[in-house]
Amino acid sequence: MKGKIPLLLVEDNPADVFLVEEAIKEHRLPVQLLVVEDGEAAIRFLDRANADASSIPNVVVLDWNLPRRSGSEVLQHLRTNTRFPDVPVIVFTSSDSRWDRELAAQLGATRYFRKSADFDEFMEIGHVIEEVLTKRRPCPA
Amino acid sequence: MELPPREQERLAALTSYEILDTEAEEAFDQIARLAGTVFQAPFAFISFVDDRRQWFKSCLGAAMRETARDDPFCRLLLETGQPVLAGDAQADERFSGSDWVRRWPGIRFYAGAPVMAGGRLAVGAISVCDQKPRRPLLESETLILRQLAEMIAQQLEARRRVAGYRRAEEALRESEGKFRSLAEAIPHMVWTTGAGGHLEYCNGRTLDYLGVRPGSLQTSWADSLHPDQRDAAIERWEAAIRRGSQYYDEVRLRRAADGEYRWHLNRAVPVYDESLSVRHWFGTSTDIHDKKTFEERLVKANEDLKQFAYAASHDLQEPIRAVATHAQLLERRYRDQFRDPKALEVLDNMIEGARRIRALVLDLLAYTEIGMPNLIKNEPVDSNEALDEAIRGLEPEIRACGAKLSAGRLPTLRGVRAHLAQLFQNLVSNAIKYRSDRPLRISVSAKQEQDMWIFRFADNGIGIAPEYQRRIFGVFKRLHGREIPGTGMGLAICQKIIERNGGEMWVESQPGSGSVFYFTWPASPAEESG
Repeated sequence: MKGKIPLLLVEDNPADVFLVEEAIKEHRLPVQLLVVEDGEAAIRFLDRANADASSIPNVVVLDWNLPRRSGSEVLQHLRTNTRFPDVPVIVFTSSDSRWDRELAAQLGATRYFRKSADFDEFMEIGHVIEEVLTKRRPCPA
Repeated sequence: MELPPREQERLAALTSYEILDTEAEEAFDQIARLAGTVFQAPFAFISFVDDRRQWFKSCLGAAMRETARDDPFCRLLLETGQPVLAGDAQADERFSGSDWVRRWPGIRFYAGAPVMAGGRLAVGAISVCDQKPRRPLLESETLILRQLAEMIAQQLEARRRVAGYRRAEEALRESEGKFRSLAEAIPHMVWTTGAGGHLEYCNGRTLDYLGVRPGSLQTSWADSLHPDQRDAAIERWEAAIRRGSQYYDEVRLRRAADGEYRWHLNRAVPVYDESLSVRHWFGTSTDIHDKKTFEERLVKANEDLKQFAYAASHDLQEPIRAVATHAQLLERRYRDQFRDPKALEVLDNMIEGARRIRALVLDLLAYTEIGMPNLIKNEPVDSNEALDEAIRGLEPEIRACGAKLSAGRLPTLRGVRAHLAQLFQNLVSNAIKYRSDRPLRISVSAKQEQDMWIFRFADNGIGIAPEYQRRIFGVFKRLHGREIPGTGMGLAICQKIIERNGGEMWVESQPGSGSVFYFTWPASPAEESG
């Protein structure tokens, strides 16, 4: 991997943004973190990337419960309305419900990561990002 | 004195004519006059005989009221059922003792024919008499007398028929009157229709409620229905008419007084005729508006409460998780920057506090999720497997305290697998937490009683004092301080799971010797074999 890899983090909770930054540091990931704070901003970001191709993310970490437009809408938009429908998306949520897992899988999520209240478990997000980036192989959610 | 059966029958026939002690009637008087004219007799009598007297319905020539029944003429007529004839009764030893002969009117000539009820029971007689002796009647003349007796019998039958009709009519009027007063007294709308649904009658309450005059009722029922429901409601009523079976519906009807549409329960039952085709419909409309709106409000309030608890516990999780992870972050990454050891203790307390809040919220979420309708579907669950799953989840704790668990053969139930596993896990976890100094023994069994399974979950722990045995099932209710960890939600969750599935839960316990938790679960026969 050469240079910094663009990673789009869609997350409205600054505490979680802080923890993701921490995990990237811990796992020494060569990524450039791009953060948007709600679903609507995420869709605008994707539309702009679609238009000028300059800022297409290599991976998206997508919170599921977002203000305005939900994570599922963002995922659907990326998969159906952009020129980069294969970008891996890690659904990033505190929900453990079967319904959310099934919906994420149906919409084509690459991974489903449950935000843990345990610090060490939470830090695993760095490992998951690393896996997705190196393997570039879609895993079942 | 016991009467012979035939006499009983005769008296019953006489009674059924209701003729004794009635006023004179022209129909009978005409027959008596006719008899007098035909036989040129100064006296003609029509009489009826009960168990003790001969009573005169019609008299020509002398006003008689009654004589004793054992008068010889009378007795002979009844005994033989044949005409009785005498040319000169004074000279005839059969009759010479009769008061009629010896005293007034001093009968000499006598001819009588019995009045036969139903052609075979003599209930009375027609007789013609003279104070002078005559030749006895010829056979042809006797025949005329018999025919006159037959006319009387027919007259009796006709009277009885008319009386029957009159009584039936009276009964009908009375029952109609009763129905009307009942219909008017009932605090519901009451109505009847013909077989095709055309209105025949409705009570005053119906007229008041719909605000119409009787004439225009047919269309106003439909007009009073709420526009949103009108077509469907009419269709349901017409479908009931086509089927000819009970009609039952809930509709909103407009109250004329204030224009409010109020919920009503409509019911109608078909009334059949002898050939079992529908003749009428008898219907009622009951105002259930207050009950219905109250129920709706209650359901909505319950729903809101569940949604609130669900959302609150979901939303609460986020900030709690942030506190927990960030407190741990501080501890891991910045530990050496806290110079004062007290600061690390504060940090530990924070982490512990966050963990506790989180456990509470997760339990609250589990509790409310159980109550969310239709969130998860029921399926057959082997309760042995659910118990095994619970034991696996608590393996380290079970091993640490050396608990021994024995379980009988448990049934397959209809429910949610995760719920049953949680139920057992909470019970086992409680048994471990509240164990005594003795090695912990748990035994689980189930037996079927009628259509319910009764589960028995027994331990030899510290037990629960009677005054707390109800309280332990409450939300966030705990009997112990921090020395035993817990949120106080375990048994509340168990009870909610059981109630969701239509069962009950209770405890029997002796402090110091252990507790037995019982719960019931509906048996589903189809599932047991599978």
